[in-house]
Amino acid sequence: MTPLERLNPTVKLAVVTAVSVALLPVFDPWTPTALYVFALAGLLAARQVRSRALLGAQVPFALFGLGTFTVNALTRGGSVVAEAGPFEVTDDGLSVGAALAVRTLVVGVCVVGFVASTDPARLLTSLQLQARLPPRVAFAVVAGYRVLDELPEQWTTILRAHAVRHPSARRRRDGGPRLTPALAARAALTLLVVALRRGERLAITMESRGLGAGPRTTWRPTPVRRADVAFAVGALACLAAVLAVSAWTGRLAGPGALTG
Amino acid sequence: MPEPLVTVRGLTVRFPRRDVASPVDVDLDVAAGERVLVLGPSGSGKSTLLRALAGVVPHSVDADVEGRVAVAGREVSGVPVARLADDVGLLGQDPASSVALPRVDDEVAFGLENAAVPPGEIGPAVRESLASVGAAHLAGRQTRTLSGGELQRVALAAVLARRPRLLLLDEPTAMLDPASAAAVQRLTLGALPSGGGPPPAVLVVDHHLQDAATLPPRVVVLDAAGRVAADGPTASVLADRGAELAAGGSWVPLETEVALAVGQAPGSGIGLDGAAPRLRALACADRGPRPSASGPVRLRARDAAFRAGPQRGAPVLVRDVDLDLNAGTVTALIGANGSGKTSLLLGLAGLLPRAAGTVDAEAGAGMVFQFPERQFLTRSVAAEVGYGLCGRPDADARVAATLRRFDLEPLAGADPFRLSGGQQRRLSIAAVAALEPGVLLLDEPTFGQDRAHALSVGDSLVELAAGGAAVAFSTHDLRLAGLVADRVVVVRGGRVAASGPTEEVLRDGALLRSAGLRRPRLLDWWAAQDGVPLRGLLTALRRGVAAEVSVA
Repeated sequence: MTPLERLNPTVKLAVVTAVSVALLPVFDPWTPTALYVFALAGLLAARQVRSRALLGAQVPFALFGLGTFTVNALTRGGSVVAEAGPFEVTDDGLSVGAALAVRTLVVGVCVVGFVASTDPARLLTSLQLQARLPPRVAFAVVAGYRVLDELPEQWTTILRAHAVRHPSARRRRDGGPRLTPALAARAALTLLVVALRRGERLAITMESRGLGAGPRTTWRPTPVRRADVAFAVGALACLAAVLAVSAWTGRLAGPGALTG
Repeated sequence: MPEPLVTVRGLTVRFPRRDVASPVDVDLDVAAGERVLVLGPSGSGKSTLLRALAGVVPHSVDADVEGRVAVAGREVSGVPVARLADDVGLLGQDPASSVALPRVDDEVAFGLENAAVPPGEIGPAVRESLASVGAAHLAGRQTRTLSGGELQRVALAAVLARRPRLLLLDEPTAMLDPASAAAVQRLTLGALPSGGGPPPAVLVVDHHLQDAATLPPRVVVLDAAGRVAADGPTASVLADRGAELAAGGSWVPLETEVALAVGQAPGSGIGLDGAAPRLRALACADRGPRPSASGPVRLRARDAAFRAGPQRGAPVLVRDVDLDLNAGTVTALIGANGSGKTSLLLGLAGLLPRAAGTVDAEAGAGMVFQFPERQFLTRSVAAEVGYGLCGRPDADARVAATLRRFDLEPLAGADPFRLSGGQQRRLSIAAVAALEPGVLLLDEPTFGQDRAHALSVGDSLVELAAGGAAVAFSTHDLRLAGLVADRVVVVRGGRVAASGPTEEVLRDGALLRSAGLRRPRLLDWWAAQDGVPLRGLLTALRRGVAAEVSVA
């Protein structure tokens, strides 16, 4: 296990949440950029994710960020620095847009690190022990994973059943059925019924093994260790330091940046 | 006399939206450590009886329960399922639903955690329980990567780890291939591992028993109306009631079937060898319900190979497929789990991209998939049958005719998802048969069905072939293949290993073994005989059972 994998999942989740929440009122591009650099460096130093995989996982966040940036740069008021056809690019727009885009990247890199280093089963154990999530809820989620796991295969079977029966079924060149909105709705209903049935059966299985009988023990608990405390303190100190430096150098901007 | 572990008095269960109750007025006592086999036709309420003992009915599944059910001194009606679980372990038939967690060892530990076992004792208990069912090597595996047989063994380990005093086994092998089923049966019917404690009492429902020698010492028989028809020592109940049981579609041991076929009393003790001369005569006199005439080729595959998906890198699932499906013939595809039977059928149906070779199908091929409820696309039985007929002028007439032919008329307005397993299976076949496809492919059409339903599905396949279709189905049931198939194709490791006339393939023991297949005892005996027509033999055994119905 890597150092990040050994950490308590609830502690990691809390830190990721803290960083995301702390960035909410920040509207300058410099503060999130500094945090992004730190987070990225930390993740690479911990050897949690290969750099290529990390790059790939950030593509969706980058695309979303690019969208936010473009919309803000072109529509926000402020002094015009350039013109693009009917749109005017403003300095405030650039700055707020960049802030929001990099914020997306920061949250993205944190989430990628969290997901890559966290075993779902351990997360749910930890949420029960450290966040007092009721066991019935936690195990419902665990069983839900199993049901979700099977959905793609079931979806394929449903579409195939349509393809071999319905006269208007169009096939793709590879033999697969062509999806239309009407078919999608029909197939979704079947999928829902099948998944609900599976869920009911799994619930009976778990109940008949004593889930909900009373207080339970945990075979492999997820204690909060010294390393977890050190990680949380370190990460939050880093966050605080970045905010402080940013404020001291006068670069930190709050929601006031939105109204100019 | 000490208080029995299980006391049932006047148990009647009625489900909402169902007219008839089952079981009805059941009385039952089970002593600690006693092992009981529950037999009865489909719909007699065997499964409901077991679920009522676990409290699942009515606590988790809504039902109207009359009478009294007590387990280990507690009234089931007043105790939640999770608390009853201290004394009762339940294993159902669907492997995918027997295991809920992503990791094998977590799954076994789960029940112990719920019982608040100290964490330090859980690890050793998990290892011991997995080892006792021969699954120690699976401890660190992800459950989604396990086969059905492995899942059922893990689930059994999870149940046994809690040291139940009463173990309820509800068709635990119904959805397994014969080899896995035999492995699970060795565990459930033999002396159960109990980790040094007293062994649990066991109530087992199983339609797919291989051997009479390992049967539990006591049998309880429910009749079609859900009442207790017999309760007593296995040998004498089978002797007195064997004929009636078999006629009702319940499983009976091979010896009982043989005795009935040759006109002896089920308790006469006549075996295959004793009955051989008479069986031979019957088999030769009656070569089966139809001559096997084959018509023109409806589907021809040459050197065909099929890929998992459209991408160029997608793995090739089956290759070297040379196959003719003729009008009027039934072809059985047999092979171990994972050998590629399903992929072969999907490929022939044109649902997988072809990587090589040719597939010529005169008209489109119809396909029926393994799990009935995953192919229903409408909310009524009649609409389901008509789904593929929309736009045709004769649609209404054909829907009506198909409903009649598959005995679905009374259910025309019912919701497909609310049908019983056997009815769902009939509907899934009817919905494709209504299109009158030239080629009909079916993926394990008897999966999870009891003997009577499997035979009726077999009859449908023969009828469809007689109507001019080329029918091919995959199966683990070699006896069914022997009864209905004209040709058998053996699939091994994603290739067609052999194909030929049914008798020729099923006689080749070495071939079957190399494909990971186990020939049932009856077929082993047949293969050792000379000149006994297989279809005639199987038909004679079936007639013997049916003859009892007409007498009774």
